Amino acid sequence: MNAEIGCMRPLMAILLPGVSLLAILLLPGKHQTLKRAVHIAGSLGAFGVVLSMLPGILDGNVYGMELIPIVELISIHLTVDALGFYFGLVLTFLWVLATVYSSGYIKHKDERFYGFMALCNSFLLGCAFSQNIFTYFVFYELMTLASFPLIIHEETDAARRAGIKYLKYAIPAGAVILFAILLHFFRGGGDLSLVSMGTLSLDAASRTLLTVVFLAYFGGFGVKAAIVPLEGWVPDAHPAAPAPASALLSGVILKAGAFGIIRVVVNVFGLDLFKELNLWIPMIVLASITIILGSVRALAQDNLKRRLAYSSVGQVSYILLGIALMSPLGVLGGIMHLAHHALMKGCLFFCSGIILKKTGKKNVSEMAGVGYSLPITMICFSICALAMMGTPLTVGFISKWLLGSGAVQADKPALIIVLLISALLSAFYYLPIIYTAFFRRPQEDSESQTFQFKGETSPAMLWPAVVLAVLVIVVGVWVTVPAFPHSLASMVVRVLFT
Amino acid sequence: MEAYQHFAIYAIVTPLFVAVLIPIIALWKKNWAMPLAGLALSLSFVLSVLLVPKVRAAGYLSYHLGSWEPPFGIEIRIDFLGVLMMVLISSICLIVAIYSLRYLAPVRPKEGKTFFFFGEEMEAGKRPIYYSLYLVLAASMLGFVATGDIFNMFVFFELMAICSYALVAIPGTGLPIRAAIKYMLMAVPAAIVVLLGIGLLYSVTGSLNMLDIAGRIADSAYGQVIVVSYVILIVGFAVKAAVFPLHVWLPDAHSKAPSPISALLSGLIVKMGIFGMIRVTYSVYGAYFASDLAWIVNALSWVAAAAIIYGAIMAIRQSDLKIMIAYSTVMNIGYIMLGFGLADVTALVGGAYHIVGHALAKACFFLCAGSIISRSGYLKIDDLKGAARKMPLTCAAFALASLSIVGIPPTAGFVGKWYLVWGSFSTGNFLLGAVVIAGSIMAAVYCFRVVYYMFFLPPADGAWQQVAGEAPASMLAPTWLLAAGALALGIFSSWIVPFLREAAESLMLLN
Amino acid sequence: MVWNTLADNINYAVAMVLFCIGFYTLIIRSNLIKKIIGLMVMQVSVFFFLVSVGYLDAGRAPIVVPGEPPSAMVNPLPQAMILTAIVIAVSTTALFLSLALRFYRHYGTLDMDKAKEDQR
Repeated sequence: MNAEIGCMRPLMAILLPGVSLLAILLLPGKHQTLKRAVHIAGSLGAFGVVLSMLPGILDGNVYGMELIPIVELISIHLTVDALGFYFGLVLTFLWVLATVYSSGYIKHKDERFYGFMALCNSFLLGCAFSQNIFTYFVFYELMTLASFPLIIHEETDAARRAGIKYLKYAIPAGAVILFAILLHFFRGGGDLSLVSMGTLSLDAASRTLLTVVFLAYFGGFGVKAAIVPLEGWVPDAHPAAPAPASALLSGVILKAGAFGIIRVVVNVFGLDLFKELNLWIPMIVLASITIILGSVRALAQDNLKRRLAYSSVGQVSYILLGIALMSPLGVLGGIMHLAHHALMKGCLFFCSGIILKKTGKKNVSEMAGVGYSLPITMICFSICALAMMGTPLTVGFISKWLLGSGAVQADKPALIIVLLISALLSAFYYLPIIYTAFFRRPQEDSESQTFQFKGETSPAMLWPAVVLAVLVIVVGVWVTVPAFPHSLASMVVRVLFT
Repeated sequence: MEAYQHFAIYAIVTPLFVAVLIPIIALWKKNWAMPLAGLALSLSFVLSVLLVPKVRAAGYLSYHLGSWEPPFGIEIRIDFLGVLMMVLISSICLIVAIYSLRYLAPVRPKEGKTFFFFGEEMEAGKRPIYYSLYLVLAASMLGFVATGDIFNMFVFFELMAICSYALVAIPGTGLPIRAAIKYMLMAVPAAIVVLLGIGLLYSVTGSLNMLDIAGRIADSAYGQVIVVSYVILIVGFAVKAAVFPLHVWLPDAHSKAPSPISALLSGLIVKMGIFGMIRVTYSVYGAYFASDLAWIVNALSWVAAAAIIYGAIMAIRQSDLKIMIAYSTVMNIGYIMLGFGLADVTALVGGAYHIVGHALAKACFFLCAGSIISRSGYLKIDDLKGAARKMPLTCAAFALASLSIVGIPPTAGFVGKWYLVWGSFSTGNFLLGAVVIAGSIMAAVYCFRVVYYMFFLPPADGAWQQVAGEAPASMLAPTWLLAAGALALGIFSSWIVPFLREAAESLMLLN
Repeated sequence: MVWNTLADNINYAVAMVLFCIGFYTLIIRSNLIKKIIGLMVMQVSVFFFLVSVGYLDAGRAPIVVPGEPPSAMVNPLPQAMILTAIVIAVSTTALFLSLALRFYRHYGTLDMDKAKEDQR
């Protein structure tokens, strides 16, 4: 691994949304448009700064800076390596679109929403750029707290209950992670950094201890990553949150948990130790169960966002499955799926938000004929839904193909069945939506049966969805373009398997 | 003798002197009380801060009162922990004194209602007495941490106690008086017991100077008497520190006292009990510490764990804001006791850091509660629904302080707990470490419930409509200063911890 | 044997008995004034104990006279200590009594338990 290049840019990227937050707070109440602009500018700035590091990252550089030692031997330290950069790029990109989208979507108490959104952006970037697991934990916990107001933003009873449920899951999970970190630090050798490929070893600690540490990490991050016994908050939080927040939840915040598990497996344990301790077994089993169960439960949901949420539960476990396969193609597929799913699910939630705003319809069964009144939205939705099923020429296919070949490469071809069942199930729960929207007559005949392209919805909400839908195809076709997921993920894999 | 050596005694005596002056001046100028008190306390603060580098350079600062040589004369002996406590005491006393100004004498808002603390007609007469007692309290706390003479320590301890009883009861209405009597019924016997312990110690060592006693204890033949005197002293201080089974007075006194006094009680006065334990254990009984007293201290760590769990459960169950905060203090005292009871340098650092961090955050809690009470009159947590709509800044300060109480990473509360867990892991007490973490979760339950009510729930019908709005600046600024301090101490802990570690090592080295 | 030990340490024994009487009164009596009396008995027992520590058979006043050995002097330090402690005890008791008075005016009783139900 290359030496770290001292650089202010990671810090700048983290601070920029914070600056926009300050501006939002300090500007007087009447400048609504200006506030929206500042909010978008903040996330755009963060994205720009992250993007500016791309050439260096592709050259194999690592940027970083130590901020402040928070307790002895442990400091808040930012580092941008290929994996962190990859996650940072995905999240800032989705965040730009979500800020644009929210400026059209959020009509009530928008300052609070924008403020916490900017805060979440900062903290998540901190997660992506953390040099040690402690820094990761600090930003992760702050992000948990800052995302709570996003979930309950609607202030309905259901939203409040969902928010409380979220905290009930997330705060004990944070304590479990802290427990893992403490064991790791005080009994596992004292190196918390995430820069090398495995800092723990059997020399410093017993097998039992290392297994306990891993399970604590896995369980703690697994709450955010929605692994099956711990996924209870996900299907409640998504429908309750406003659409941009659900898009971010599914697109990035769930991934922060998965990303944490990737970091733990790859950088803390290292694949060798991971294999040696047989830790992949619980991970593969739980990921497979989650994939199947998430899809099965999605089938039964009538509420569109709830259905999408269960779909996310299943999809995030693809990432974990890929990592646990420990074969180059599997890891590549898992890491690439992180971005792919963010694109697809972000778009799906944006579309569901447009449908809700425009027609007031939450449930799939009510959506007959929506495709006519909202044609562009529903086309975007259909593209992404097809991609979720794994249709060729979309990003969904790439992930599934790589994961399938990874399973073969890892000599576990049985897992292909899991992937196939999941694809089949997702066809079962996505196709009816498309069918209802385009081919079912609305019950009241007053709605016209011709496509109405004009005045569909405000451009601020439509364009983010369109951009994502286009990207789902573009990234799925031109896979290896630099800055697309493949280039960065393959860098990570190259380091891992040489 | 250089000038700075007099700083310590000036820092202690100035508030005492001004305390005498205030009632006299108040005969003519009633409104001078607060500025005078503020001046005296800021002088103490400046002097304490100036002492820090001196104490650090020399390890300790020794001053002989009236130039009588110790062990015969009274010695002021400040080590690093002592000077840190002096800075903490003088700064928090100053901040809370500023807060008291408008709490005691609210300016009537143009619209809405206001709550006069003493009742409108009485307040002008009582305010000078309040500040006078307040200054004596501050001076006695400063003296308590600075002195090197165990009997002098007792005198300051009693002075502090008397002032705190009076200040709890100062509203003069039924409940505060009841609370003060309950407080006295526990604390006065405790003080008698402390005196008895000192007497026993004197009877076998023949000295009152702590350093001298520590030397004489080492080769004393009266081992059993020394152990008994230690237990008696610890029990006496434990009542004052409200350590779990002896905490009964605390929730009443903290919740019924005027809010600035609650802030001092929770932030500083209970810490004095703990400081007394630490001082006695390490500076006086150092020689016996490792052998005959280890089991007592070890038992204290389990008492502390019980305090954490008990305090947290009780805090969760409360419906009154100030009683909830008071039980949270019982819990946090458990944390500090744990740092002391583990008898490990790292854990002691954690305990000492928690003293500072908790003092800031908890004082901020009580000041926020005071602002809310003086603006709206609401005491119940249920009534706080929607409070942020009228008092956003106060509620935000409360939220920031609750991060520290819970122990979310870049706050002072986290740093303290981190070292506590480190200490318990390195001494092999995994269960105690788990209790620390579990306590954090329970703290999250009771803190975030209030924050959630304030920010995310709509007010009940008609509630908060009469409220004039945000507290005045002279109440907001102290609140925010404390909250920001709790945050800053978390971020910049690496500047303070090495000093604390040195101080803890030098304390433990006396063994 | 036991009696000899007791006789030698009669001051300690008396102090202990006094202390227990005071503590008993403090805990058992519900009347505030009686509680305060109990406290004072406790205080006095400790003072007694401390003064007796400095006692010396046929001791002299601690004034340095040339030619006299200092070992024959009574230890003055406990007496000085007790003087200070008495001052503190007096002020504590005064405060306590004044609070009891306010308590009585407010609740119309000196019984802590009876006043319990009466809020405010």
